[in-house]
Amino acid sequence: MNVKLLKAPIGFIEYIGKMVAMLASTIYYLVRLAVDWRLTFFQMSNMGVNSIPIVFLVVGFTGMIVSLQITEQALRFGSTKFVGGGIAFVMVRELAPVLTAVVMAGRVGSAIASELGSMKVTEQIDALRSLATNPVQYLVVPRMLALIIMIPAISVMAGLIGILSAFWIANMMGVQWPVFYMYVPRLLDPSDITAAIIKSGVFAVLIALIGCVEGMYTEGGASGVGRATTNAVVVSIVCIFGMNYVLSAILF
Amino acid sequence: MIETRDLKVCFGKTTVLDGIDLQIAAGEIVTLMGGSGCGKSTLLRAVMRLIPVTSGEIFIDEKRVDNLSETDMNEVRKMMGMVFQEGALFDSMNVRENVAFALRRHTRMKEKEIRETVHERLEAVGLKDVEERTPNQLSGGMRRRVGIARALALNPKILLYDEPTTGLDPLLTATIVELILKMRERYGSTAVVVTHDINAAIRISDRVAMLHEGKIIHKGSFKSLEKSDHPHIVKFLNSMRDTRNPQGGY
Repeated sequence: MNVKLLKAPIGFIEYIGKMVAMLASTIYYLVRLAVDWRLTFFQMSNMGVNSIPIVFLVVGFTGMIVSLQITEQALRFGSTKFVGGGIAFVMVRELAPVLTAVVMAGRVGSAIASELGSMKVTEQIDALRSLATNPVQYLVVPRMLALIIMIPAISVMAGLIGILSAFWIANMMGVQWPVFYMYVPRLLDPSDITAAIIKSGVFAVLIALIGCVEGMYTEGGASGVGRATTNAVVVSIVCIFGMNYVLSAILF
Repeated sequence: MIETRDLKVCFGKTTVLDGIDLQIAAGEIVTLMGGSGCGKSTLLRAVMRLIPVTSGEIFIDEKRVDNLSETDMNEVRKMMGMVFQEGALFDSMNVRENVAFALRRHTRMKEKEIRETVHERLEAVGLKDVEERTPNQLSGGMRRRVGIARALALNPKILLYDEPTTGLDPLLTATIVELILKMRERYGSTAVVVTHDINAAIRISDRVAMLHEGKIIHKGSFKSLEKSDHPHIVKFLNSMRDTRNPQGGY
């Protein structure tokens, strides 16, 4: 068989292997509570809090455009009482977790890959090991933990922003709050919020893991860092959409 | 202090180190010399276990380390320090944080003691008033000196220098050479130095190990190296010889 044909599947298996190995090491340190909390809080602020404005903007505008389209149709058919419930349903279950994850993959996943990639090509990761410090414990664990905490939290807040933005547009088109809210509790179950938080947590693991694997295995200087950064974003986004389908099918 | 037995390192199908046997006594400075790509830096990295070893044995302070887990190896690394070619300073930290890194992670020192130790280590490498600077505000020579100070932080028994003088001007090279000698005098550390700089090797080495194509082709004093009739050593030394110097110096 042509060896070149085997290169892609072998590369894929190798990549999965790197992810599994890194996840196993991360879980090992998390279970032993060998966590640098100072670094974790720094990453929560750096990667999480600083991402809030862009996530709110993206989800807010999405809520507005969804509302614009749906309210217009609802007004035509006289069914405005379903607008709020429908938007809240879609926003909490799908749009907020997925959009938050996609924005975080672009902003944070790329930053993780480029930072770790630069450290790799300038021997800083070797320097860490020479100073008796495990790079997974020092670099990966705080980032992973920070994202696992921050992405679900931001996602829940983004969902609320999305719903409020949608109401703002619906309200400008003549839908009052009692009408908008009427079907929200009927269509949206508290378990939907729990499921959305679980989804966001899984996306957080994917973003951190892919960013860290791309960064820690960077080769080839500046161009390698660029490649790792691009790969981190592309692979994360593909995985987020794929995993979203699987999780939606399982959780809802 | 350091011993390798039949050490072999392969990257894929390429054999980079092929049966390295080397013994380095405590307090000794051994220089690894040889052409580019002959495996000098790889040997240093293998001793520090920064790369996987294909076969053979490595002993540090009479303890076998080639089969240790990463966690156990970290305990051994606490008595070792490595100086990287470009310093490999953490660019997200200033000089003080770089030098204090190992102290903060591996000791229970109070902040005041850490500051004093950092100051003492920086003074030992001839640096003053740079503690607040970030690595990109330092010159190449300063970066390497901070790298040495960082490697010295835990007062290691063994120091590994990876091309510490490459790319530096003659004055800075002389400063680094003096520093390597001073570090042994002050801290009694064993040192392995990878260098192409023959003059630096002559000044600092107790012994020289010449590598060629992944094998050690000569071990001994620099004088014994000069007397060797191995064609590669003769060629290597001739290429380094200053043809304008009638005494045939380097």
